[in-house]
Amino acid sequence: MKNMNRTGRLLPIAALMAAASLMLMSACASTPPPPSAELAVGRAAVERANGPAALEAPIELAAARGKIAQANMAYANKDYVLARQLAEQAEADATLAEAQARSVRSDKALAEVREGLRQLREEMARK
Amino acid sequence: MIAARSTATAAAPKPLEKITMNRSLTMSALLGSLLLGACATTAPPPAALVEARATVRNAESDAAVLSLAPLELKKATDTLNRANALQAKGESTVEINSVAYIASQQAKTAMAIARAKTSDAAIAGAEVERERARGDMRTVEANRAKAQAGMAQAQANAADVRTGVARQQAAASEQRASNAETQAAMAQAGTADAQAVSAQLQQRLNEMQARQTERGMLVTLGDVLFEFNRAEVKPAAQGSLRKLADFLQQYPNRRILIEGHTDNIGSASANEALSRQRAEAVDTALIALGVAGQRMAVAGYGKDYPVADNTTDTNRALNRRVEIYIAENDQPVRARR
Repeated sequence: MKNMNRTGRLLPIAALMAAASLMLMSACASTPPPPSAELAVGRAAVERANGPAALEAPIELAAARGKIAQANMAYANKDYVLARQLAEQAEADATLAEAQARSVRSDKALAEVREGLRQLREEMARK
Repeated sequence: MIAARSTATAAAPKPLEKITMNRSLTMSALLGSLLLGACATTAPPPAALVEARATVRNAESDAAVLSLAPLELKKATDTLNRANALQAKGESTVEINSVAYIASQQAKTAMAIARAKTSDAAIAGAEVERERARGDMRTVEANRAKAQAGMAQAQANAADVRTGVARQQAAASEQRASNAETQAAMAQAGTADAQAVSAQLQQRLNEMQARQTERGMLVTLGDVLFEFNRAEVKPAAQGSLRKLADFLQQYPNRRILIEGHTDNIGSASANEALSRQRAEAVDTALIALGVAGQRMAVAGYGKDYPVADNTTDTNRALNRRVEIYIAENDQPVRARR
């Protein structure tokens, strides 16, 4: 009789504690909303970089493309946290690829103009 | 059971039941705090965050980035701040690493943009130099042709010397260059060419740093030039001011208006005073860099003319700025009010 009483009284307390623990846990790991906006932004950035960066920054662009593909997969598996992280990273990768491509093109153009100038000066020195 | 109910009296000897209950309470509490601790530990910063801090700091200490890619840099610092906040809050390492990685990429983007713009500016300068060299070459040929006529020879030599000086000054005074080229034209006809290139240079500079407005050409300097609430120009901003001074030297006859603007934080009078002091600081710095003081006027408009609404940090940063208007002709720039 005494034993039964004890268990009867302790069970609800334990259940309460477990529930509280669960709540605390879910407080910092709540289910996030599907990151469709982030995915769209990431995809757009990769598409924008696709043309200009394909030649000058192929490695960075490939990384961005790979991440978008993985993000799509994570999204399909309802792993929304991973999908958002990958989509955001892909956007940053694609933007960097675009900027690097621009920098490479400008450097090339500068080298050409300088070479033209050098040839001209050489020609002048000969005259 | 009865004993357990009356445990309020501390002096009463602890019954077995109560001890058991206490233990299970402690266990549950321990379990709860363990679970909580699993996502709230303040561990040392993950590697990606350490790297992001270094990369962003690197970009921030680059004068070219400060003047040519301020918005890209701001994105990177904002993201880094977000990563730092996540770490302080004890977010998961995966999340911190992801945000920190993005901050690194954004800082690298800012550096790449600054590099590209620096090259673009060098291209414009080198193209002008190339055209001048072509002009010089024609001058040399013309001089040779005129060698038979002694008087013409003397004239051509003067032109030659003058053109040489102009070339040394490279991207400097456009006015002087066209003078020298006019002299060279006395010996030969090749000026039209060089003038077309000048126009091209102007267009290039327009695209790069200046914008055409109905009040004249506008160059905007962001708030990276100043510390918060201070009017002294940061030493790190000297590079961008020098670029601006060089740019202004290309238009030696045009009048300039320097306007200070702030965000909407603080009183109207304080903002007006700060914006004016900042405009004056830029004026003083430009005079020190060789721009004639009588060409320039200053105005402080405080928070009255925002370019973006003041609802976010990024927008407020856009509003804290110094605008430099270069007149279309030799008349003063029209004031706002």
